[in-house]
Amino acid sequence: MADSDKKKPDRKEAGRSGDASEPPAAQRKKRARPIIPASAAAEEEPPRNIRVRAERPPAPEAEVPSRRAAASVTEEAPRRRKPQPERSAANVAEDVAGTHHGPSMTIYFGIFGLLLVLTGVTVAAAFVDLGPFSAPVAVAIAAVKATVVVLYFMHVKYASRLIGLYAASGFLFLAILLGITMSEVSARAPAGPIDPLAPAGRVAPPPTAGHANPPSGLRPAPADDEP
Amino acid sequence: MSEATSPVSRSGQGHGPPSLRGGHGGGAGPSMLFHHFETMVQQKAAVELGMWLFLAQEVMFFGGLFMAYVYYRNKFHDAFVHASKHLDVTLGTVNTVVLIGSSLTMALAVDAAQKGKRDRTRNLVVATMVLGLVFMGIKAYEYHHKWVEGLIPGAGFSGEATLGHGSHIFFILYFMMTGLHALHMIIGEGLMIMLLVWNKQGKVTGEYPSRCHAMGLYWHFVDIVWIWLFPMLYLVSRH
Repeated sequence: MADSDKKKPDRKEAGRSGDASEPPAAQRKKRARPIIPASAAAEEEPPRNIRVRAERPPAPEAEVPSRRAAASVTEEAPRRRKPQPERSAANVAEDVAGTHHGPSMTIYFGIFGLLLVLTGVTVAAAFVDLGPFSAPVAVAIAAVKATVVVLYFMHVKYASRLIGLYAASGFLFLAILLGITMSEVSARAPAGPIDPLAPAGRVAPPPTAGHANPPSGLRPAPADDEP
Repeated sequence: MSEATSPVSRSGQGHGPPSLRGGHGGGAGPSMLFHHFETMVQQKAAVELGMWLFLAQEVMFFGGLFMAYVYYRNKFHDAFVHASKHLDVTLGTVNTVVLIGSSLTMALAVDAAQKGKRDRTRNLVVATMVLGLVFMGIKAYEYHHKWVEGLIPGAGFSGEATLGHGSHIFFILYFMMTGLHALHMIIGEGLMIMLLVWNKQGKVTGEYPSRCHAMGLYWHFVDIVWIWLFPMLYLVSRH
């Protein structure tokens, strides 16, 4: 069982190196095929989305020039493709925790210097008439400063992609909040003075006697297009 | 790069250098592992991810105020420009530098904790606390100045006539945003005190620096909030 599994990637790699002259579309189709059964793929693939970057398998487009190179790929391939029975939650946690090697002293002080310089730039830029670019410049500088703090002081650059995803998620939803709201605001008709007593939309005619309007209705009835 | 060393340490014994302090009662290893985790590494990952999840929530928490600011700045642009000029840019800049400095000392404290240097961690945490207190002192002075000027929102607000319609909302947002930020600073100072106590007990350095790291993440987040507040409140259309 284990033996046959080990040979599988070998055959696959050899096959791919053989038909390198195939049109790219056919190649893509071939590569896509084993992923189609979702349950099987999920079982086969280790949780790649939370793996440390350097552990990603080699790009499938990499050409395998010779038999020897193919063999060297095979040595690594079973570890990645096969389910790992000994792989526990703790192993996954190792991927999440990353190597925990923070930046060096030089980088810490360099980032500190960069933040000070950017603070000076944003203050200086505020006193210069940049016209419509005043706000975008300030926002861009603040964005760079915040990104640098997140990446280096908060170690996201050295952490796993899952941590990066968590770090980005809050800002993503904030961007959605700001983006959608402001696009709606900018699309509004120019507002006059807000009068909460004015009825919204078309003004309904006052209910006449004998009209079927409920007397206790809080909203004015929609005016029907009656002659 | 450094990530490449990750598969080597897959032995289940945890990352990082072993405790550099040999004399510390056999290290913090087993006693620091809570019963619902399998390994220290798993515990570290959970602490870190949990903190990031909390911070993502914090972004949304502040996000509502940011949204309000953007909307009302759009609506009452002239009043916001005039009202913003009543804030002291010099003090704001000094405060920004102070807070960036505290972020640096916090980052260095986390670094020292990860390297097992207990005294250095303590000194840097104390430095962070001092810089945080300087920040809040300057902020309190600014608040006092607004009080003297009659720019505290409420019945006694005097700016609506002199600064234009909508300046009241600017100062409501100013006090809400900087006040919420200051509240986070106060909570951060409390966390620093907890960190000092844990550090004294040897529960921060060595095998389990994640507490220090998590609190560092919180402190840096508060710094990032100020990085945004400073240009929004102090620098809009200064020229």
